[in-house]
Amino acid sequence: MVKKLLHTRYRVHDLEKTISFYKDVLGLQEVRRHTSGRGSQLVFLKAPGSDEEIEICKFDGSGPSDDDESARRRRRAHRQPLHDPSGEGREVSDAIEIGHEIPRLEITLSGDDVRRYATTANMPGRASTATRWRARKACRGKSCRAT
Amino acid sequence: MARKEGLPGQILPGNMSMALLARMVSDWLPEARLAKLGVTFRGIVVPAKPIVCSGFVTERRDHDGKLELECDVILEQSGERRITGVAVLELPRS
Repeated sequence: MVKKLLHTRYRVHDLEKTISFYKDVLGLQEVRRHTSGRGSQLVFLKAPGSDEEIEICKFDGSGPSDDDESARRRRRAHRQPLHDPSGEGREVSDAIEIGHEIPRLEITLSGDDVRRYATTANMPGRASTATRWRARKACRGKSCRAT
Repeated sequence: MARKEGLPGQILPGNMSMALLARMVSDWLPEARLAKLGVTFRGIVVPAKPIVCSGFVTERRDHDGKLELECDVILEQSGERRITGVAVLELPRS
């Protein structure tokens, strides 16, 4: 059984943004900060009257920390439920209200993308869109059926 | 071939545009099932110009113990709404 926690460490992408969340939103106090010998920036926080510290670390030398994209990919891989962004522990399905905006998808497709799609998006064994289109055109006004 | 038919050049097949809208909702809620996607093609979508897909939830309802979300979905290009439609997503309740 765990009797006491001394210290938890999180590596983050944006140090100041994270610190301000812990201080301004959660009300923790900044205890100390320093930069380690290998160059990682460390900030220690604790709740008033508690011994346990949370260490927030920014160390770009060991690769990127979790970003939204990698978290999304992992979630998809494991089919884990999303967490409610309000942090109230509700299920995501309860957190989505009417009027909730879907994150936008912005994309510019090239002519090659479209050509590739038009030739590969069709079911195997089925003629490509262009082939069916030509077949239909050839059949126009005649009594044959293009499939 | 497209130009011969009086079109400005190469265009996106309708189902490719629909696939973009489907991708937007499945990126948003990977655990949801896209139960229905119905769209109206109001204009031609072309390659090489930015496409913006957006949408919002218009209705929530319970259906067979699952949560159904109805969303309006929109595909815009050059500031015009080229495709509008409705997507129905089914989310399991645990």
